Order: sequence, then C-alpha cells, then structure tokens
Amino acid sequence: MQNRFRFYVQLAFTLLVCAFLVVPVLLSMLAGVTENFFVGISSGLTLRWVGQVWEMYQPTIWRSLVIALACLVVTLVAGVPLAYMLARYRGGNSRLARLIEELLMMPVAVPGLATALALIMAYGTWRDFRASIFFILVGHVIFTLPFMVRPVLAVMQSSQLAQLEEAAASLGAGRMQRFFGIVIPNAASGILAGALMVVTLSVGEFNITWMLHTPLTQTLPVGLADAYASMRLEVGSAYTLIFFFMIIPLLIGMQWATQASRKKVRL
Amino acid sequence: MKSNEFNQQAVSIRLAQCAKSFANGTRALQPLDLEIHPGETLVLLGPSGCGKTTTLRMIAGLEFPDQGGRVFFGDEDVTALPIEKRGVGMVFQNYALFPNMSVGENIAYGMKIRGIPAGERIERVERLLEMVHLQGLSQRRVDQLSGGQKQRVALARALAMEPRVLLLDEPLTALDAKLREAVRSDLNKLLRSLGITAIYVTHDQGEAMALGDRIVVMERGKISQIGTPQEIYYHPANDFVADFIGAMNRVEGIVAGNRLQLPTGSLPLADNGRNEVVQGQPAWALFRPEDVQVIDITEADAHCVRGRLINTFFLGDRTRFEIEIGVERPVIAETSKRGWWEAGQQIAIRVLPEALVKMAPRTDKEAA
Repeated sequence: MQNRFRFYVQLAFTLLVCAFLVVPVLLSMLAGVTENFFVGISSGLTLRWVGQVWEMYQPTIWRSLVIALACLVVTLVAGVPLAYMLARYRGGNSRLARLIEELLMMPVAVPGLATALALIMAYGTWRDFRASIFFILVGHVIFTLPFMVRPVLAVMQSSQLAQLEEAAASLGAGRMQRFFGIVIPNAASGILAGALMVVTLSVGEFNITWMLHTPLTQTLPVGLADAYASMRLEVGSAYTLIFFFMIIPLLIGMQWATQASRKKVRL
Repeated sequence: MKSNEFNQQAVSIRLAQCAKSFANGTRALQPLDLEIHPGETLVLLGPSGCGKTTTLRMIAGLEFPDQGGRVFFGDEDVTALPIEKRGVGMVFQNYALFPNMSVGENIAYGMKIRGIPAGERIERVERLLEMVHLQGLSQRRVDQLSGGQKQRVALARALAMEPRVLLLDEPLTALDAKLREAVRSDLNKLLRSLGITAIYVTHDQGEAMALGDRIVVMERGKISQIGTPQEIYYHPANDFVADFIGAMNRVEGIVAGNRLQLPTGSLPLADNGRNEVVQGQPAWALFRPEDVQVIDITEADAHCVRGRLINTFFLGDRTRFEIEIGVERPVIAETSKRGWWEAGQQIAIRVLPEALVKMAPRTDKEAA
C-alpha cells in the first residue's frame, strides 16, 4: 500500500514536470494555427499563418538545410581523419593531440557572438565571401566540429579498434586501406552519433549565424527571430511549427540509422 | 593446403641485440639475441611483464627495437619494415576478427588487399575453412561464432596469405579450460603439418610444454633459459626457471661425502657434472614431486629420509603427500600408485640421484 502510494506520488510529480516542459511547446504550436491568439481558440483554427510563413520564409528553410548538410560533409571529411590522427599520433598518448582536442572545444565555450565577431574582423572585407552562405558555413563548422570529433575519437581510442588495425596490418593492409576498410566501418556508431549532433546543432544554430547573416543569407532560426520581432505572434508560432515538422523526422531518421549501425557493429 | 606449400617458405628468424625502452624510460627488454630455426615452433614463456609480448611484437613489426637492434628473416634485414611488409601471420589473444565482415570476408581480407582474384579467393577460403574444420561457415557473421570457432577463423585468416612466419599471442587464453586443451591439440597437429616457423607467446607452462619445439623462458626483460621442454623441465638453468616450470621441492642440507646430509636422513648428490658444492658446506637439493618415492617407514633404509606425513590429497589420477622432514619447507611428493597413508603417520622418502634436478651451493644471500 505504502509502495503504491509512493509510486503514484512519483508518477504525478514526473507528469507535472513533463507538463511544465511540454505545455509551452504545445502552446506555441497551437498559436501557430489559431486565428487570433489573444482571443483564443474560440477565434477559430486556420492554416493561414503557416501558409504565410511558407511563402515568406521558404528560402530560409532550404538554406538552413543546405548549410546543415554542407556542414555535415565538411565535419565528416575534416573531423573523422582528424579524430583518427589524434587517436593514433605517437601511439595515442601525445600531449599535442590532447591539446588540439581541448582547443577544438573552445568555440563551444566561447560565446557565439565572439566567434562571429572574430570571423567578421578577419574576413569581413572579402565582400563576396562575406555575403555568401559559405561565411555562415564556416561559423557552423567551427562550432560543430568538436561534436563530430569527440564521439569519433572515443571509438577510435578503443583498444579493440587498435587491435583490429594491427590485425589488418598483419594481413598486409597499408594505412589508407586500414582507415577505409577497417577503421571507418567499425567506427560507424561514433560517426553517426557525431553526424546527428552536427546536423541538429547546425539547423538550430542562432548566435553565430545571427551575427554573420545578411538579409540575403537568413537561416531558419534567424528568420524565426525576425518573425517574432516584426510580425504577429501567430506568424512566429507558425514558423516554429514548420521548424518542428522539419527537424523531427530528420532526428528520428538519424537516430534510427545510429541504432541500426550499433546493432550491426558491436565493438 | 598441403604441408609442403609452407615448408618451402619456412624461414629462420634472428634477433640481434634487440632492446626495447618505452617513452617513459622503462626498459621492457634488455638487449636480446635469439635465433629461431626454420619450421620450428618456439614458445616465449614467462609471467606477465617479462617482455615476451614485446619480443613477439618486435618480430611482427608492431614494435621496433631500440637503436642498434636488428631483426632478420632468413638473410633479409627486416628491422625497418612495418608489419604490413613483413609477410607474417598473426593470431591475437582476443581474435581481432573484423566485426564488419563475415567469416569468409575475414579470411579473404589479406588476399583482397593483395589483389588476388575473387574466384581464387573463394576457393582458398573454402580450403582454409576445411583445414580448421569450419566447412560451410563462410557466410556466418563473426558474432555468431563460439570462442573456439573464432579462434580457428583467426588462425585461418593468419594462414591465408601463406606467411613466412606465424605469430601467436596467447591465442588460447580467452578459451575455457576444456576447449583450450582440444584447440591446443588441433593447433599442435596443424603447426607440425604446416612446418611453418611459429612463435607462440604464453604464460601457461602446460601450453608451452605441449606446443614448443623449444621454449624461451623470460623474466624481467631477459632470457632466463632456452631449451627443449625436457631440458627446461629436467635441467632448469636457474632458480627462476626451476620455480616457474612445474612444482619443485627445495631442500637444504650439508654436503658430506657423496651425500647431502639432512636432519632425518640423507639424499644422494647428483652425479651429473652440474654440482658446484663444497664438502662440509650447506647446499640446496632440487627435485620434482613426481620423482619422490614414498616408502612405508618399516621398509626405510640408510638411503632414505624419514619424516611425518602432514597432508594427503587424493587428486584422482594421482595422490599428493606433504611430508615434514625437519627442514624449512615440507617436501611435496606425487604418485600415481594406489598407496595410501594417513596424515600424521611416520613415513620415509627416497630420491634417486638421476632425479635430482640440480644441486647448488647455498649462497650467503640466501642464508641471510
């Protein structure tokens, strides 16, 4: 009896906390489809705001996706070999490697505004570069690279992977053959976990992007800020709604891919 | 895979002045000279940290000797060659099978790297699987195999490229005891039939005895003794080897004539030219438990040592007696005869001169 009571108290508390976190999200989504949020639901439901956002901000959505995918490509191409190098340099116990690893984390700790400001000061005078989405891409890569390197490095530092490489080497495989044939397939779980982080962070990144963007290179979160600042609340909320619909299938898809690869490769 | 395919390639290995120090300054290996004959199975045996794995990894090309050290395969100096260019096959303690590949792909990996055409690869994988008694498992995923099967796949993979040298790093340690014996027997047959030069690292003396043509006993980065299993067992070069291989009785007495005088009797002096004892001085006698004859006290004569039985253990295939004879440690005797005495009984033992492993003068250090 006592146990049962305690169970229900704990359940109630848990649900309360969940509600506290979920209600604002639901409210925001609801606001996006309400005719007039200040009047309430009684004013009727509509897809007008969603349509309006889609018309006005569609380019920012595609731009965000393009930047996120480009960011993923860059962090994969740069981050995975970097993690491999950090894990293997001098038999894996090099101070220099640890130092680089720590330095990589810096942009996460430093406020995005500062990173962005530094980029503008250094490269702001290159007009075409400054005005292109590549400028934003650079900011995103700096910010997301450690989130790719960290999980990949963790897998690559495992002694099992090192031994698999020794086994491959004993069978005649050179460094490149080992990297592509043994290391990458067996580090897939770390690579996918990193990829998930990178895409998620890039799509939602605001601080750096807000400083780096031009009116022609707005991304989704920047557009969202713009909508909340200068439009009706319903428009901003409809924007949030679209954001959810975009990001959630993406996350579920990548989560699924990560799990599938874990099942296949047990290290 | 016929045996002569390997015989032609059996190569000798020579290590010359190979030392190994690690970055933090610790010396894993003192400068070491070692010659391994073509087609021989050499076992590196010793406790953990003795340098046996480092020696193996230097032969493999996974570690490189300090300045001045040289590694030769036959007449070829391979010191600077990395492992992928040495043409060695290696079996690891944890198998190190590639989890992203099937059994067949694992075995074929080396052939694929060398660009052997697919048809020939498949054919050779089948032959190798047959050799290790795993026919039909080519498509199996690695994580669906038992420990013994994984071990055999690892062996097949190591042999697939017909290596000049086969290196085995504690390959049976991860298996349970019963399986270990079975795989050991298979492995022994295989190594003999292939005639390949093989180097086998283990800390298990039973394994070393069963598999090695010669055994290298190592201690603290140095070679203690090199010899056949019989030499190592019957004529250990020093106390470390004597204690590490098998069980050993160690009895102290005074040299008197051609006998070693003990408080309750005497042992003969071994007449094998190995004695460095001085008349009237203390000395050790070393002998194996199975060489101790246990005799009923009524049959004891002048060449026996009398004592009291303090413990009896029936072990099934043999019986172990612990006998107190008035020296520091009790003597252990083991016999497969079906005799039985009760603990507490008076008893006598006899050791034949040829069974004495070694007699050494007692040094002052030991006396202290």
